[in-house]
Amino acid sequence: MDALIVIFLSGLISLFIAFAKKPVLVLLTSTVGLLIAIALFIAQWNNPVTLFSYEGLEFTNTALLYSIAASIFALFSILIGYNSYKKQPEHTGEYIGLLMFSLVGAVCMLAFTDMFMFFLGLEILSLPIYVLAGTNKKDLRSSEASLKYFLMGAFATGVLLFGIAWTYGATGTFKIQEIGDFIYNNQNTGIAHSSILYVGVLLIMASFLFKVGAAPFHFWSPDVYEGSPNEVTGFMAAVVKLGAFGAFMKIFGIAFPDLHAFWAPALVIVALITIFLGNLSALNQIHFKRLLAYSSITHVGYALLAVLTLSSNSIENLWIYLFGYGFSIIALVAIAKLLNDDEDKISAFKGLAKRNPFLATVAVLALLSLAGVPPLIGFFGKYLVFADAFTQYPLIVIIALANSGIGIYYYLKTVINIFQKEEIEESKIEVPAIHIVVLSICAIAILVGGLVLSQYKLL
Amino acid sequence: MKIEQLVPLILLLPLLGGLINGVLGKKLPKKVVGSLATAVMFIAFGIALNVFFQLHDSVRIDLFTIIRLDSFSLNARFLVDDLSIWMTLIVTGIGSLIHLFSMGYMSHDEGYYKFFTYLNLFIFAMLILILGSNYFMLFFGWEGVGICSYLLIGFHYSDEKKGLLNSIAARKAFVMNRIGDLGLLIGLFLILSTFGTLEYNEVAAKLTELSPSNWMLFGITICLFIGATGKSAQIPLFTWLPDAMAGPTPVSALIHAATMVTAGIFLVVRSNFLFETPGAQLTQDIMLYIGLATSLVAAFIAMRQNDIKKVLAYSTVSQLGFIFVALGMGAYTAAIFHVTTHAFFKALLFLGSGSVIHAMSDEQDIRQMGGLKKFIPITHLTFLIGTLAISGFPLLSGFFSKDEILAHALHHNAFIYGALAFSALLTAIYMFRLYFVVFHGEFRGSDHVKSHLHESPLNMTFPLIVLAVLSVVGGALNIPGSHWFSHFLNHNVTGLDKVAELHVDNSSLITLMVTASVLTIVALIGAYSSYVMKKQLPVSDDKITGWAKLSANKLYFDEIYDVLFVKPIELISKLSHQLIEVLFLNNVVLGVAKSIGRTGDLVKKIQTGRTEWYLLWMVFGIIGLVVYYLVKI
Repeated sequence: MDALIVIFLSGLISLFIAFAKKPVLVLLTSTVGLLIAIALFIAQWNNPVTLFSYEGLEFTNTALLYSIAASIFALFSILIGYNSYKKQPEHTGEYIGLLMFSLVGAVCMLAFTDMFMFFLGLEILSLPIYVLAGTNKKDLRSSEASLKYFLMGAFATGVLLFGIAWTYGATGTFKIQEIGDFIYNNQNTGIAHSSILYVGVLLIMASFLFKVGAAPFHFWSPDVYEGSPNEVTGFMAAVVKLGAFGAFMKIFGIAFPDLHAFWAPALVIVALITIFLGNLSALNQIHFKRLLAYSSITHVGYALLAVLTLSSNSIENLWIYLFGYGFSIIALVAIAKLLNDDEDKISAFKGLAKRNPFLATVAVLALLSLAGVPPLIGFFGKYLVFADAFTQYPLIVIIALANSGIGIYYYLKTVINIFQKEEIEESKIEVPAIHIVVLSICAIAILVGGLVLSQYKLL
Repeated sequence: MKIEQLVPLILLLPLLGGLINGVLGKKLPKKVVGSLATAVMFIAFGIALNVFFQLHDSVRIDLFTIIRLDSFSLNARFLVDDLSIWMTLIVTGIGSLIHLFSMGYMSHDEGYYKFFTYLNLFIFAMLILILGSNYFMLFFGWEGVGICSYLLIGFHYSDEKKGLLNSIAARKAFVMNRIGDLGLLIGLFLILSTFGTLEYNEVAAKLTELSPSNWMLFGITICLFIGATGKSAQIPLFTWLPDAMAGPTPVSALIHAATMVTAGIFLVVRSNFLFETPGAQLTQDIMLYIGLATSLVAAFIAMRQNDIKKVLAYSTVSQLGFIFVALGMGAYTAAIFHVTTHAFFKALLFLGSGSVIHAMSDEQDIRQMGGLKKFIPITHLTFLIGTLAISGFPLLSGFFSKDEILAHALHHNAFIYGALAFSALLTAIYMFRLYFVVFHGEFRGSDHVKSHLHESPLNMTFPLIVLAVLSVVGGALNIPGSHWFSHFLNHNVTGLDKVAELHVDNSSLITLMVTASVLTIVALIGAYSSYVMKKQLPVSDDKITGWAKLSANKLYFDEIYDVLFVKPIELISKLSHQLIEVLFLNNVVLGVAKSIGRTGDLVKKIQTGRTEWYLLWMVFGIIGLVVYYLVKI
């Protein structure tokens, strides 16, 4: 709880410090704030704290684990974006402040105990992102991304509210635990199987599918990923996904597990469409961030398997999956930014191995991790989720595995580019010190994270 | 420190040296690179000596588990017993001398750091092979040794004149070894399926308990032997070793004479409990005759080779054949004894030839040499010692180790004894031929080369001197009467204690020794009279006829393989290219890939970029969910 306040306050202070027009101060404030927040999250481990008289937020270990990951990725997003913020010192405060506020929303989305708090968290998370997507004011695509995301987000919010309302109507409570109990207690009567409740579940699911970017609610993501500044793309891919999936898992794991038989087949269909659509669309991409967007859609499809499985390990498996995914995606957007290519072509990676071996190494690691090559963290995430799902959904896991094969094609296409000779002589790439630190941490996490994390049972 | 801590250190040192040089070597000065690589080897050798003196019983060291399954697990576990520590001493000892030699030999090479990286990594892999306590570790080292050997044979792949040839030689070594590796791999799977474990001692223990069928034992041992023929260059897979001389000379000395080629022998000695079963009787006989044939064929080919390193290469193949004959007779200690002395004098000869080549400005043709004893006295003297040792000159190391194998042969079968003795005679003849043509007579090279003739620096001659001393006294290890070495090896190595020792009575021992001495001296005199007194010289290839032509053309082995295997395989490849690649793959597989790609293009079109469409799709999605609900209810 203290951590949430620290994040919020350091975001707020960042806004005010920004008047000094010294970006480095803002960076320092936010970094220190986030580090303290992470420390506080860790300090709360095994010591659940509830907040507000009606217990709107509860920091269980699950919530803490997801929050720590979200905070780390938010910190990385701030750090790798610093160089571009510096160019527009008058807006540094807003950038960083908004990112921090969005993180506050993400934490609320992970720690909520009722639908009310969940909705607040979702909105706190989303609204700053709509703005952040458009921060590249001189680029039309950025403004387009912002507006598109906002319009569609508003639509999804409406659907979500609708769903929450129907659920409330059916169960008479906002608290997810009580909803779960209500359904469990009335399993054998018609009350737990009313149309109102079922449609409510489906509508909530639809809005989640929008937030995580699953088909056919995914259309915003390629456009928004491409238009947004890279660090915001990283934030969206890493933090927003963590928040959305954490909440998805929580609501469907606590409130609707007894309706699993009802909603699971729908989710299976969605997951399959998502995996295929993401993969097929990614195949012939020439723009790197769009490729990442479609690959993220595919990854969402894989991650949905964890939600489908709902075993005792699913929450942790999903966490490892998203944790590994976050490191890769942040490393990749940071590197893509350094390549300084306005058109965002994959071919901009050409000759990277010669131009800057460090960046090339990190990029290759990140791409291979996304492809799921052992012993990188991406492999462990995928393996854990798939292995867990296999007993319940063998066929779907096999289809997902086959799709992983297709995925390797487009990841390796980028890898090949990295090792290809460039056609035009290009100068060496300057890598700022902050990037070296962040990318090194990402590389180490990708390399050994999976090996280490798979040894322990955290939850 | 205890053995448990020392042995991992022996392994770690070359790995560390290789990694540091591999990563930083480009930026470090040559002196640092070479000194580091050499220093780790000497330290490793020192530690190995320490372990050697501490060791009484065999010690097992568990590092970690690689894979754990329900039925079995693969462990990074090491077994230190007399066999493995002895081999470790040879590998690290001779390895360090060769590293030292290379510092001088490679000093003008651009890829200096790469060379030492590979060399260190090679030693690391070889040590894993030797020290592992199960077949998996052996296989790991086996493959590591293979890849390092490949890299080192083709080390000068970008050389203007010989680059392509070097690469082809490297590829040949790799492919030939792969054939053997497949045999080994199948052998390992058979062991795993029969015994459920790959640990040496567990396999040995379960052998009596499970008593597998004779056919299975034959299958396992023959597969292991096929693996051994690859690495240890036996018929039919020996042709890569002479070609491997394309690598820098220290590599030939280290890998293709002293260490890697002994891997196959080590494998057989390690698995002696399998080879001593009744089912493996046939394998032993096959091994015996293949070894014998290899020994004779290679010795015959060596008679008329004119490349100084090729002669030595064929002599290596021949000596390895000798050792396999010993293995086929179950004379494991005699085999390892000959491995040891052979490592001494063959490393000496190769390094000596390296010193000659260095002095001759990279000329390897012995017809261009002659009279070198004046110019490079230390090299000359040490080379002479090596020649005498390998020829089995009385009281030098090769004399005793060969004699032991001959004694076993005589005990086994008179025919084998005769053939082996003939092979030994051939060895003495071609080695003396080589020695006299290179070091005696008049210098036949160009004046330019002559003006550059010089003795090698101390860091190259020092290893020669050490190895020469070892080649002289090495035979004392297992001198008849004490047989220290046999007792030493039989002491704690699994299986070896059960193998009966051969006891030769004194009279036949003396007969054997006298015969061997007479043969060697006859060869010496014969070679002296024809190459020094009559000043015969090897003639150019197109003038020779009869048996000499056969020998010079390596019995046409490469050509026969070309007709028997390469051409048919090429034909099959062409056929399958037409049938599978063009007809099937291009249409079916590429068709699938293309259709996926096309679907991708189609799917991309859904992404119109228009928000109203996106919203519409979302509405469709929600409608779809509602329809789903209606269907479901």
